[in-house]
Amino acid sequence: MNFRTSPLFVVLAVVAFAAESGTQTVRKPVAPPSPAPGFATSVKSFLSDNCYSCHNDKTTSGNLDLTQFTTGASVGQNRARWELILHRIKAGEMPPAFMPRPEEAALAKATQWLEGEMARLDKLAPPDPGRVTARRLNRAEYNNTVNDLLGVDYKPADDFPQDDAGYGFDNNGDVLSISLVQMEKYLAAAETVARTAVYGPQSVKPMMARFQPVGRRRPGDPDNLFFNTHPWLSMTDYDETGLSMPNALHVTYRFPATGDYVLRATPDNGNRPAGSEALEIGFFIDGKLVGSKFADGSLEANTQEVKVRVTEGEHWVAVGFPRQFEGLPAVYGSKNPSKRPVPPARGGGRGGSGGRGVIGFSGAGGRGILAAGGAGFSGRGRGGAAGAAPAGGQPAVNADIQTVEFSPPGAPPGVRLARPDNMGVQSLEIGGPQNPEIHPSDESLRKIFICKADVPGCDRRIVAHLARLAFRRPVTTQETDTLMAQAARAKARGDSFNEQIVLAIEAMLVSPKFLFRIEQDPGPKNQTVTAGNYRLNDYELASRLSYFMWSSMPDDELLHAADQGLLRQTAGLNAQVRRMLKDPKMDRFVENFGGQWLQIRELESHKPDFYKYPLFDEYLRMSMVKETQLFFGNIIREDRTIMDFIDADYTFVNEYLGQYYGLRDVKGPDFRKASLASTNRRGLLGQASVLTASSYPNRTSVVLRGKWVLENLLNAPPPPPPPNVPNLDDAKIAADATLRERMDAHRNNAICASCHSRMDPIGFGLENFDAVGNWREKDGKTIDASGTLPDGRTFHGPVELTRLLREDGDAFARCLAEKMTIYALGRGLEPYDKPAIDKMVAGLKTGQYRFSSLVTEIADSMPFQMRKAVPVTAASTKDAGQTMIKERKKS
Amino acid sequence: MTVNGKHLSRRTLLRGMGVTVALPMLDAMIPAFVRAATKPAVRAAFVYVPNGMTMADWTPKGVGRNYELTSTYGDPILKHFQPYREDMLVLTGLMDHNGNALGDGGGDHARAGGSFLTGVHPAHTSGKDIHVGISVDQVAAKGVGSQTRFASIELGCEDSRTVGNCDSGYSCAYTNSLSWTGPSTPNPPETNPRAVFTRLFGGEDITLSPEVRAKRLADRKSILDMVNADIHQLMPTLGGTDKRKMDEYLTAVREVETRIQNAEKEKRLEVTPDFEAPTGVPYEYGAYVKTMLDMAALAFQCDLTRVITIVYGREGSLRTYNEIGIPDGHHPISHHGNRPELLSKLTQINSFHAQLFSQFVGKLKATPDGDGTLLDHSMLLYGSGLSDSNRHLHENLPIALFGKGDGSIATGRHVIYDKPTPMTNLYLSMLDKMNVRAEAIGDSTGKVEQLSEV
Repeated sequence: MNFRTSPLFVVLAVVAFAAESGTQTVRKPVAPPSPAPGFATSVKSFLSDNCYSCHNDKTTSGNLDLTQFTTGASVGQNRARWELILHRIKAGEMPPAFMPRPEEAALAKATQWLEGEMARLDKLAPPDPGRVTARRLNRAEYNNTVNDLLGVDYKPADDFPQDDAGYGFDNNGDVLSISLVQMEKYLAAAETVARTAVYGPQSVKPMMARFQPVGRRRPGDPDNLFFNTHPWLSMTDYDETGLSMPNALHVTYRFPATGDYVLRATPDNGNRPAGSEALEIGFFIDGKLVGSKFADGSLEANTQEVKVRVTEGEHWVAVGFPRQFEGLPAVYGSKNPSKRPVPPARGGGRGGSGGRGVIGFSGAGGRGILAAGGAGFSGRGRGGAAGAAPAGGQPAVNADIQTVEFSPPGAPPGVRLARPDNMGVQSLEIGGPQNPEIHPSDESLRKIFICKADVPGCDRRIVAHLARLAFRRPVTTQETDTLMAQAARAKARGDSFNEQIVLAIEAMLVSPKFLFRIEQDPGPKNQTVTAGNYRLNDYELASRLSYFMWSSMPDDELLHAADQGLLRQTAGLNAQVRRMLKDPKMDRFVENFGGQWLQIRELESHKPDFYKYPLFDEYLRMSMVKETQLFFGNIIREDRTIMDFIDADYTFVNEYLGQYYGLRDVKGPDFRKASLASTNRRGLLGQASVLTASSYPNRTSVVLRGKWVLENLLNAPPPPPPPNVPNLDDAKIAADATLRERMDAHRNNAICASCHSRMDPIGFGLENFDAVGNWREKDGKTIDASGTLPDGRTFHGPVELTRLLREDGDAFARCLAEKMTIYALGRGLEPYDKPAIDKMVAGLKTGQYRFSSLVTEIADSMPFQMRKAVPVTAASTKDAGQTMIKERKKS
Repeated sequence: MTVNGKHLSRRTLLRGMGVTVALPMLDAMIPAFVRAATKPAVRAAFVYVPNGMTMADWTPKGVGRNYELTSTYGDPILKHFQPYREDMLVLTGLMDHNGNALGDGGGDHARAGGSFLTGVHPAHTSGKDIHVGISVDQVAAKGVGSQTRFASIELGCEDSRTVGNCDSGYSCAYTNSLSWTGPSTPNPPETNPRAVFTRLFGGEDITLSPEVRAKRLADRKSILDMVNADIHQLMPTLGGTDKRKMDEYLTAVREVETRIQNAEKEKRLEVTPDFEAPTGVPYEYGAYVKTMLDMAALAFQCDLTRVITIVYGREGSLRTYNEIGIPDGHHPISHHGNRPELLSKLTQINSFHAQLFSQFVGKLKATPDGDGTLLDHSMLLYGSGLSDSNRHLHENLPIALFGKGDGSIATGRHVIYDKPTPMTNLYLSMLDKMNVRAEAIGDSTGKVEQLSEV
C-alpha cells in the first residue's frame, strides 16, 4: 500500500488540521501597512538623547549604528536587531552604568512604542513554521538506531567522521553533510552491523589495550601523596572498596564479545611499609569486585593479573586497592593492623628482607607514636587505635623511603613514618577475548527473526517488518521488492537463508530512506497545504518526536500510534510524550541535548593543569559528568520544575564528589541524592562539571563564566568583541591590582562595558569556585564574590546569585525553550518562530514549569508539527560548486 | 537514593599491541623502482596549524638564499626545519583577505579556518545557508584523484567533539573542516588514527578468502546500484535544501562506486609494513600528530593518494601542552597582548608543531622516487591562516613550502612579496604544477610570482 496517497490519510490530515487550526489561523500574507506614527518622537528622540554618542556611523560600538534607523519601518526591516535593542534597553543593560540614566518617562515611551509596533507586526505576519532541511542521522542517532532496530550495540558510528554542529547542536540539517569518507563508513558499517546482528560479533581477534593514568603519577611527584591533595582522607576513614580512592584507575572499555579477558594491573612506585601484609589489588567491572590478587614486598612493577569472563558491550573497568590501610604495622593506627613482625629499621639504608625500612624518627629515642585518626586527616575521625611503640630498636630517618615527610596528626613534632599513601596503578591492560561466544545476541534474534525460516514467505515478512522500522513508516510493496531483490541475489548463488537476510538488512542501512529523515512536501495540489504551510504526516511527526526525545527511531508503539492517527490529536500526542518521558531512552536526551546545551561534552577533552589542580583525576571527571546526568535525568523522571536547574538545593554525589563538595556523610562509590543546604552550591552553577567546562584549563575566567551563563541560561549571548579591540592598557593597571580591579578597568572602557557589565558580575559571583569547581576562599587574595547586575540588583556569593537568576525565571524558561526547540527541530530559530516560543513559555508557566510541560509544548508547537512547503521545481538548483568543477574539467 | 551505573567514556591513553597488518598493494605502489622513466607524479599536502605564530620568531631576515633566522622570544621556529633548508621556500607577504571581518564583526578564527583553503569569505551563519567555497585540495583531488586509490585524504589532530557555537555565531563546520568539496559541503577530517589506518591500509579483511571478498565487493556494488535508484526516485519529490542534501549523497555514492571499480583493477601484494597499527587516539599530542603524519607519509610512499590535508588543530584551539610544560590553552596564549612570557610560550608551541612536521619532511626526503626523492616531487604547504593571532591579522601569513613540485620550484630561499598577495595565487601555481587547470580559486588574481629563481 502506498500510504502517501491513501484516501484515509488525506481525510485524517484535513480533519485534524481543521480541528487544531483554531489558534493557528492561517491568513494570507498581507503586505505590511505603514507603521504606527510616533517613531520620531518616541524612539528616535530617545536614541538620539541617550545612544547616538556611542552608536553612530563613526563609532559603531557593538557593531551598531543606530543613526541608520530613521523610520518606523526599520523595525520590520531589521526585526532581530530591534529585538536586541529593545531587550538591552529594557534590561537596563543600555546605556551602560557609567553613562547618565535615561529619563524614565522617555524610556517607557520608547519601549512601549517598540513593543506595540512589534506586536502589531506579529499579528500581521503570516504564521511560518519554517522549513527544516532533511537531516542525516548523526553519530549518536546512527548508533542508537541500529541498536534499537537490530539489537547491535557496538557503536559503529564512533568511527565515522565527526558531525559538524550548527546553532550549538550537532543535529542541524544544514551542516550535516555527507563526504566520501562518510559514505565508505556507511557501507562498511552496514555490512558489519548486519552480520553482527545475524551471526554475532565480527572481529573478535584477541586484542590488548593498555591504559595509563592521565599524565599523573611520576615517581617522587608530591601529587602521588594523596593525603596532601585529598585532605578529607584518613587511614581510618576512607573508601574501603578502594574504588573512589585517588590511586584507583578507571576506564570505560568496550568488550567486543562475551569471552574470557585478562585484566592486568601494574602498580607503580609506591611502597608498602615493611612489616605490612600483602596489598590487595582489586579488579572491578561495573563497580563490582571480580577478582583480587595480592602483592607483597615491593609494589613497583609487581604486575598482577586475573582472568574473568565478561559479557559483550561497554563496561566500566577499574583497578584499586581495597582496604588499603589495613594490614599496615600497628603504629599507623589503622584498622586490622599487620600481624607480621615489623623488621628493625636501619639508619639511612634499606630495610631487611621484608621490604624497605618502615618507620623513621627524626629525633632519637624510642618514643611511642600516636596513631592516625581522631582529629585525623579528614576531621571526621572515628577514633584511632591506641598508639604503640615500634617493635624494634633504634629508629632512624630512612632517606630512601620518601622525600616528603609524613606524620600522623597529633604526633609530637618530628615523628615520621613511611608514607602509606603513595601507591597507585601504573597501567591496566585488558586482553582478550579468549573462548569468545560468537553468536548473535538474544535481542538481535528477537528483533529480526519474527518467523521461522522454513515458513514460506518468512524472508519477506522479516524484510518488510525491519524496513518499516528502519524507514520509520509503512513501506510500499515496491520498496520491499527492492530489498528482497538483494536477498534474491544471495539465494540465487546458493547462500543460506541468514545470508539473504543479511544482504537485505545491509541494503536497508545504506538507503537514503534510512540514513536521512526526509520530510516530503505534499504534491502541489494537495489540499493540506495552506498558505504554503503543511502539516507533517503522522510518521514524520513520530520520527521528529523519537529523534527529539530518544535520539533514535520510533518504537513499535509510537509507529502504531501513527498508524492510528493518534498523534494528530493533542491527547494522543501528549500521551505518547508522557510515555516516552518515562522510557530509559531519555538518557540519550540527557547525553545529547544536555551534553551540548550545558557543554558538558567539552569535559571529555578538558585537560586541567594537573599540577595546579591535583584533585582533578579521571575518576573526578567521570563523577562530575555523572552528577550532572543524574541530576538532569532526575528532573525528567520526577517531572520536576525546570527551575531546579537554577537553584536546586540537592544534587547527586558519590563519596568522592561528596567530599569535594563538603558533604562528609556520603560514603562509598555509589551515587545518591544529597542535600546541598549546608553548602554554597545550588543548581547547575554549583556543579563541578559546569564550573570546569566554563573555565580555562589553568584558571577561572569571570568573562567565560559570565558568558556561559548568558548564553546557556539566559540565551542572551553577548555579541562577539568588535574586531581590532585595543588591548587593555596594562601599564595603567597597578601590578598588584586584584582581578576585580583589572576587570573594572575593562568595564570603565565604554566599548567593552556594554557586554562586560553583563558578563563580569556573574563571573565574579562564581569566583569562589576554582577552575575545576572546587571551593576556595582565596585566589592569591581573598575573593570578593559580590556583584551588581546591570539592572542594579546586588548579590554576594553564588547562592545569592542563583537567587537572582531564579527571580529571572521567565528568562531562563524562555532560554531553555529556545535551546530545546533548536534541538528538537534541527534548525536555528528565526524571527517568525517568536509567536511559537511565546506560546511555549506561556504554557510552561501554566504547567508550573514542569519539565514535561516544556516537552509537551514543543511537541504541540506549530514549527514542530508543520513545515513550510517550497515549490519542488524551483529553488532546487544544483550545488554551485559541483557545477563549477564539472565545467572546469571540460576546459 | 542510590544510583549505581556505568560511567561515561574517558579519553585516555590507549595503546595496543604492535599489530602487523598486511597491506593491499597497488601497481602504483612501486613507483620508484618501476616507473623511473616516466615523469614522477606531483603530490600536494596542505598542513595547517591554528592560532597564528609568534611572527618575530618565524619570519627570517633577508631575502633569497642567504636569509638568516632571527628570533626574539625563543628559538627561531624555522630552526627545526634547518636540516631541510635546501628543500624549503619561506614565503612572506601572503594574505587571506577573506578571513577579515569585511563587516561581519568578530569571528576571525572561524573565518581563518573557513577561508584558508578556499579563499572565500565564509557566510556568517551558524548553519542556515552555510556557504564558503570549494577548497584547493578538492580542486586538486578532482584533477588527479582518479589516478590513485584515494582522491584525497583529510586528517585532523583534534578529536574533541565540538560544543556550542564555535566562534561568534559561525558554524563549527568552518573550523572543523578546512577542506570543502563544494561551497556548502564541508569535507571533515578523520581524527581517529585507528579509523585512518583501517581506511588506508586495512580496508578489507584479508583473513577472508578471495572468493568471499569478491562476493562482498559484488554485494556492495549491487547495493550501491539500489541506493542510486532510490535517490533518483526521491529526487523529483524534493525541494530546496533537501535536494541539495540528496545531491551530496548521490555524489558520495558515485565516488564510492568509482573507488570500488578502481579497487577491482588493483593487483594485491601482501606485505608487512614497519608500522604499528594505532588502536585509538594517543593521549600525548606529540604522539597523536606523529601517528597521523606517519600515516600520511606512508600514504604518499604507497601512492595511495596525491593530495593530503592535515589540520593540527581547529582554528581557535584550546588545547593545552602539558607535555612541553605549557598547561595554558593555546588560544588564550595566542592572545598574548605582546607580553613576552606568553609570546615565548606561543613560540614553544609553534616550535613543537614544526619539530613534528620536520620528521614528516624527513621521511619523504628519505624515500627515493624516480630520479630523486619523494620530497623533490612534492609540495608540502605548512602554515597558518593567522599571523599575529593576538590581533587576528590575516596578512603576512607564516607560510613555508617544502619540495620542488614538478621540479620548477626553487627552494632554499626566503621570498618576500612586497604587495600583499592572496594565498590563493600560490594555490593556483601549485595546481598548475600538478597539471590541474583551474581558472581561479576564491579570490585569486593570478599565479604567484618568484616560485622559481629568475
